[in-house]
Amino acid sequence: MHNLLELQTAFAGAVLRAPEPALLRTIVDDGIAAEARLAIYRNHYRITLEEALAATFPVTRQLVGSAFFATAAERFVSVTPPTAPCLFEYGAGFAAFLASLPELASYRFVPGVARLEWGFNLAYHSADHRPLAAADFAALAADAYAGLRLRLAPSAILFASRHPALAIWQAHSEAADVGAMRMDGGPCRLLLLRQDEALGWRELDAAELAFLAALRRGRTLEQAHAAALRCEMPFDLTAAFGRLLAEGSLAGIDSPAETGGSQ
Amino acid sequence: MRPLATSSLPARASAGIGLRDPHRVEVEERRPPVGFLEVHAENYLCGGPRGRALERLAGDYPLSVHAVGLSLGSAAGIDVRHLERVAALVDRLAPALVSEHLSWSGAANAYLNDLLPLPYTEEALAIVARNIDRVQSRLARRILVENPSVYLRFGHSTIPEPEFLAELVSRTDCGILFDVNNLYVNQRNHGLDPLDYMRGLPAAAVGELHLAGHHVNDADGRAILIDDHGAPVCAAVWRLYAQAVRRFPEASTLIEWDCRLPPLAELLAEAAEADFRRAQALAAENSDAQSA
Amino acid sequence: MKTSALVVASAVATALSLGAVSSATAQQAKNEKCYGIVKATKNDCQTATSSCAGTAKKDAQADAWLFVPAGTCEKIVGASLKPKS
Repeated sequence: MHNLLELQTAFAGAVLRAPEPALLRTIVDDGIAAEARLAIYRNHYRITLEEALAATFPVTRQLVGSAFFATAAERFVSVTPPTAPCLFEYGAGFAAFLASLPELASYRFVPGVARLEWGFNLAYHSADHRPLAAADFAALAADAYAGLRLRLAPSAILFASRHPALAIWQAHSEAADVGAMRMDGGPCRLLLLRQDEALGWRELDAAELAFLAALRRGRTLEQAHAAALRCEMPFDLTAAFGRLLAEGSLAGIDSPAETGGSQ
Repeated sequence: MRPLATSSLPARASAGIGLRDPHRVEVEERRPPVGFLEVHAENYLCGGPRGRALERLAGDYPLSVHAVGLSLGSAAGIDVRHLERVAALVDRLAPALVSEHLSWSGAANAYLNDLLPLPYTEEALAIVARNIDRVQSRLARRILVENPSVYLRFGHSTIPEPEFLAELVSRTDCGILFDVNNLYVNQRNHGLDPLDYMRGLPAAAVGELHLAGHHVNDADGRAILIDDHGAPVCAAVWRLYAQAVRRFPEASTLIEWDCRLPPLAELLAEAAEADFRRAQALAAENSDAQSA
Repeated sequence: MKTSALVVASAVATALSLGAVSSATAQQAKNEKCYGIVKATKNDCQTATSSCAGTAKKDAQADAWLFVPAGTCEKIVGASLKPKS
């Protein structure tokens, strides 16, 4: 235990779970028991992560109430330690965790709202990009367009839920009358995007969502167009492409020869 | 060992404040006359408005990048991916100061989100020195290492903390960020002699002083001071600060709040008070020297 | 060139010729200018120990019988019905 690696492994165990006797014996007990001293670190760890989740998921917290949220967050923290230091990145699995809770079985829209809040968090913190402009296409021949793989901006987040997650979120964030909310708003498909200093969103229909999802997966414009057409509803590629340019949600062009599409 | 690029502010710079997001817009609009702004690196390793605001402020203020996640005390070594992200931020902002803590935060794929205590042993000294070397060579500059507030001590520690820090300075050419409140919290919780502690630090290596508040809590039925940066600097810490200023006259001072963040004006008032008390302490020292 | 590729080429060419201020973008993205501005940044709490940390903290699991959603979710009309999937 006097080896630093062993000591730190045991200490991490005490923060994440409970202390082993061998660890307790390494700690000076001068008036305050070793367990109580370790509890300060364990409590700090839990409290700050629960606060981080509360800050990332404020509307989810209002939906379930602060007591339920605190318990759910504590359970999540106990099974999901952060893997990296930046806490704005903590909470990726929280919506899925909420979806697994039987207590929320009658409130299936709650994990959807949590997923939306996570999407906003991602869009807000994602890397900056220089939006593509029409001039960036000037050097390309028109017959190359179909084979282009367009990279969506890092902050362009696609969101879909069969519940009206955005309407629920807006009702809370704008302090509107939540009591007047109805659940029959239907599904919600969104493009979330950070534009300059603000977080933006735009509603999508099924075809445009399929188009953007295909671009996100690194498909060519022609493949993405085909994906949109498979939704069997009108899809106007000129309009959709024009919107991407105007709102700045394109970040780059990968040449047709490249197979990826990863960012 | 080649000399590292220095990490310091102009001598006698006014006190700085920790820049926290709820004050960001007001600081951008008012541009208060503080000596520098300090931010936690881990809040800015992303794109978006926060990082751009900091780039704008970098034109008007010296910056201090205070990292909390490099885990200099990890036996498993420095997380290279995180170091690269911090290095990119330091390259982008070119801050006057870069600092971290004498502590550890990560083990076996879990990041524990705290500044955890180290045993002060020869083994730990070698590990921390190696990690500091790693960070300083990647950043190509000196970092300041901060004395932590600790809530437990290890029975097998053999090296007093100031001696441990002094040894890190001589092995790695790092500097020291001396947190006066942390020393006070440790003094009260563990019974150290603060003046003895300050005498043990190599004065020339101390590049920054931190001032913050704390709260009294309860552990196992006993009072314990918790370093929460959520209260005004207490009278006892101001008294220690006067001693610290005389011992480390070249160090810049920072007012650090994190919990229960008050209005910006309160931070600015504390920064002004730090400037006043510093001038007073240095003047008193000069007159002592003349009358001696 | 396949027909599908021609369709894409002509649609994109049209969009590019309309320029970035295309009338096709009548629907502007809505936005939330205040998002994130007043939030505390999350790593600020690491350098400072939580002031509640000293107090022995009871595990929330002990209160499992209180683990029922009790926020605004009940107020949403139709919310407590099992949604059709």
